[in-house]
Amino acid sequence: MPLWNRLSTLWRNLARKQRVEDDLNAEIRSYEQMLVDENVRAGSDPSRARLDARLELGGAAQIQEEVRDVRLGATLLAMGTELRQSLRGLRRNPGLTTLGIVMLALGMGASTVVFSIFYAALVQPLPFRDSGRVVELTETRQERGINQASFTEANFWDVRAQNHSFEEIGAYHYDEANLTGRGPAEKVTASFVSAGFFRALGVSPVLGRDFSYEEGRTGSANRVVILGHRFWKTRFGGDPNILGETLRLNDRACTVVGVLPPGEPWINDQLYVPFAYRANADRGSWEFGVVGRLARGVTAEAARADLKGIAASLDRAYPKDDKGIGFHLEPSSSWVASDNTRRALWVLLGAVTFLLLIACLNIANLLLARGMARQREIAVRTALGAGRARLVRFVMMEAILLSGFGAVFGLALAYAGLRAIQALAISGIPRLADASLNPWVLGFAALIAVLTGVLSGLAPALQAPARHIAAALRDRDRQTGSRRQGRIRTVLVTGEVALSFLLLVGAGLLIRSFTQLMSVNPGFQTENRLLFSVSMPNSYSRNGVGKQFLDRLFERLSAVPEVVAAGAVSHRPVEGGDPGMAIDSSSGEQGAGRVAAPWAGWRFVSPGYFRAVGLRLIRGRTFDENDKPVWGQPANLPQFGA
Amino acid sequence: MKAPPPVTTALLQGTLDVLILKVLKLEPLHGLAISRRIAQVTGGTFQVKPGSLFPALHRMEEAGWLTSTWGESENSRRAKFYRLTKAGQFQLKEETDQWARISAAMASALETA
Repeated sequence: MPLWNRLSTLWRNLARKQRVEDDLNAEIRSYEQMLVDENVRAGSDPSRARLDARLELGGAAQIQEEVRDVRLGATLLAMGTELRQSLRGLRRNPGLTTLGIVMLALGMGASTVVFSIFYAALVQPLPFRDSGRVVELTETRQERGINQASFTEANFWDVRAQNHSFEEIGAYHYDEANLTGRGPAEKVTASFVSAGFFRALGVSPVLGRDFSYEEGRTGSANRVVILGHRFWKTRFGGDPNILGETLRLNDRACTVVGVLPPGEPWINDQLYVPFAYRANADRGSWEFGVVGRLARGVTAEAARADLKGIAASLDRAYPKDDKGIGFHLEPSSSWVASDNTRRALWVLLGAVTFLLLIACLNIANLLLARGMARQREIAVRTALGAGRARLVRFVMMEAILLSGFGAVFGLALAYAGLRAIQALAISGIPRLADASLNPWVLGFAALIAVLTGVLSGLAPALQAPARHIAAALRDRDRQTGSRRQGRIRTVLVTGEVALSFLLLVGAGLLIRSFTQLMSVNPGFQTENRLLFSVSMPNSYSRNGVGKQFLDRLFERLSAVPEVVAAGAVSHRPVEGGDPGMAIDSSSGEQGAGRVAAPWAGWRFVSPGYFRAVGLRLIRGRTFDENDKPVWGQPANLPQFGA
Repeated sequence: MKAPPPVTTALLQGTLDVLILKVLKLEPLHGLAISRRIAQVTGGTFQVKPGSLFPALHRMEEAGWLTSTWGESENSRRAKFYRLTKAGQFQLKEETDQWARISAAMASALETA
């Protein structure tokens, strides 16, 4: 039958229900009348003929019911009716309904939030073209036990020039600068990147152009800058006419030439400035992150072998700085989340799944308990001709409705929860800011809503068809339910206890490792300490201007009555990227066979720093104003290095 | 010769459909006439109860094999008459062929066994 006919029939059945019913009724009536006629013609007296006709016809209501069942859209109509009935049932039991919805909303909200974080961290692809070919490179000094370090500038240029495996290699150096002109002054991240950096990553600006290889050479008058996407949105309101505008970075005019697409990692800084090749680049200071794009058809293994060759030649060419150098190559798939983070997120996802399962079991149990109270209602329905499928659907419908409402509230909760977590900006969760209720997450929420509905409706639905209708109808005060139902409940309760126990143990372990983490003594005090960062323009490094600035700053800070102590440090503690250097204790003795010098982290500090962070020295004294300022400090090594 | 006992259950799946199509091929009939005609052509083997007849008629009408119109019966009663459509005729041919195959197969199977 053509689709059109089907649709018009369906429309007639659904929308002109009354007319269809009247027509059927008239038809049955006419059938009955003709039966009577027939009997009368055969010689029965009228009342006898009527009775026989009734008998042959059977119940008119049952015929109607059976015809209704074969009509197109019958299932739809029946489901509509059941939906209304279930809604009414839920309204009649506000306690159970509220409890159920709250439980499911909590369970689903939690799962949705965790899944959105999980998705952002582990599933969402990197924002780089062909990201399977993108790798991160680091230097190593295996014999000194250093298996991952940044690149030095000179080594970067050498590897870039000598390799045969990469389409492009780019370097990145974190830096900060003061932005002035156009709006209030602001301290911004202004990282240096080699001109090919974004090409190596496989990122094209959404606005304007990438750096050209000639740009940003030292001494070049034409200074250019590329904006990060978020910074472009927040500081410039996403102005599409930003290209060609002049910004002042550390008092130098720069022209905006491009805007990056959103994403993480590497491309989420505020500003990017190009740096170019220098023949006299530094080979001793590890300051550059390096990414490479493998040439087509080159495997990571082949690239590693290539790098090994380069390392050997660098080792020979620069024995002073590159002794024992090696390179480590890390595919981009592991950039976003380390193995530990990955595992933690899986565990978290598992935990919320358990939570949701417990909520399901609870609902199942509640519905089951109510199903027993409703045994009579179901028996009556069965007696009136409701089939097994219809009864199961009827009971299932309630669970699915509950989970539907739960899902709606759960999504609202998830939205709020995700916002709250993002506001906390918990470090250690990669790409947290990217997490959102995107189509994938919504799909996940819909999926768990359906699964939850089916799962929590399954047990009550199984017990629905009353086996012994007569008994159920007779028994007015059945309260406890059959043995079969008892078994189902036992299974449910056991499952719940087991799951809760699992969660409890998991939570206990989590808390334990958290408290252990908290009880690590960082050596300094964190209570009542405030921290802020200052960046000074390059001009401050001349003629002691910076020192004067800091002196004035401390003077003013100390004058504030709430401030007990104030100090400055070049790199804030416990934040990664510790600067370090080798301590050459045996000055002058450069002979072969010398054991590698011990490694020490260093920081420049102002005299007030130790007092301000509450760091106590093991021996000796702290600096004071009489010590020679900057570049000639006495060594002061509290517990570092040793 | 005595007629075999009437079969009132649904019997084989699809039996009713093909019988209805067959009796309607000759002329449009109303429900009761269909029931009586089926009893007649099967020598009383099939007694179609209204409880089976009505759902079948409505299902087949929705499938597009039949159309119905209200008319007047031979005894001047208002009655709903069913008529075979083109699709219904095609369906009848299909099902007739199928039945021929099935009954031949069944007959040979039961004879040889």
